[in-house]
Amino acid sequence: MATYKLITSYTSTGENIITLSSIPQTYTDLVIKFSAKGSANNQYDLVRVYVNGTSDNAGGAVHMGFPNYSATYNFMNAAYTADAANSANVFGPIEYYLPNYAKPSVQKSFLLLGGAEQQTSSIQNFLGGILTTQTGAITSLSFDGEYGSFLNNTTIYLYGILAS
Amino acid sequence: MPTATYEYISSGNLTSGSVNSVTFGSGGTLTQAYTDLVLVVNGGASNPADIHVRFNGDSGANYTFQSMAKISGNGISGSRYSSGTEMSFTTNAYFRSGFQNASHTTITSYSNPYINKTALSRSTFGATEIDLVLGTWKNVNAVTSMSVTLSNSATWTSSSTMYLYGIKEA
Repeated sequence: MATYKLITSYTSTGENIITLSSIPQTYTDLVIKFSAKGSANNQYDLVRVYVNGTSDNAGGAVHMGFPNYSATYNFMNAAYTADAANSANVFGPIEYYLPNYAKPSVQKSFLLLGGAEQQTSSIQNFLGGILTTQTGAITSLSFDGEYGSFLNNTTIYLYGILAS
Repeated sequence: MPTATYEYISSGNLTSGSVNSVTFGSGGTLTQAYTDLVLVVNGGASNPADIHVRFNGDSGANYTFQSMAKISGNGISGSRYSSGTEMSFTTNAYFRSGFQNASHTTITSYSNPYINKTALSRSTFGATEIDLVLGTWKNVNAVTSMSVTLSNSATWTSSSTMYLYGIKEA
């Protein structure tokens, strides 16, 4: 029996925020494959994650590979997009792994993996983790950029993994 | 209809809150039907502990692993462990009480009889610690059992889960 299934996908047409809502509660874990490019020029843009529509629920995050990143940030910087100053076809890959997203009464954790290119001279690879303070089931996830919007053809694929 | 290539195999029952070790394929019965294995652990531990793993019950000094880790605002650090008597899937992102850690490990070509077995793990302890660990079991035998144990005699908290999946070559 297949346990790794596509739930939904989304292709950006230049939104400031992308929301995956009505996430089914029938899986054990979620995997999000994100190919992102931001509108901010000459800088990485921070992708921020909002769980269930809230912006102040982050327990914190730590990343390996982000320059000048501080673990004291108390919001959910979850990745960087590729810089808009890159050529048009340069996007940044990001993978989020969310175990037990539907399990009640436990803090939700994220594992992140990805990379982003700033123009043509710099690439950042990153590994990260997030611990939210939220303990309820995750029913929606929203993503926005700190400095700009998502550019066309930024894509998100949401998969569910079922442990049974 | 495409063929399913990512399938659930088994889980560890950790709900009692008193489990220290889980063995998949006890007695050498782990299925050989897949190409790679994926172990996903989410939860906490009664006291700070790493995930230690042995394959096929091998307790000899046959494991090597190296980590790249970051703790809080510190820089990235690296460590290498050779001739260990077990492999560690975590080195800095300890499991502990009061928090939900997450750990994701891929064991590649676990049934291939021509290569030493390798595992690649990424783990996070909440907001302060992450690590990436590459481990090698210096043995070409197929992995027929795998024990997953918390160090320091710790036990998994009752909210913890442990799932084993198989990825099949298409």
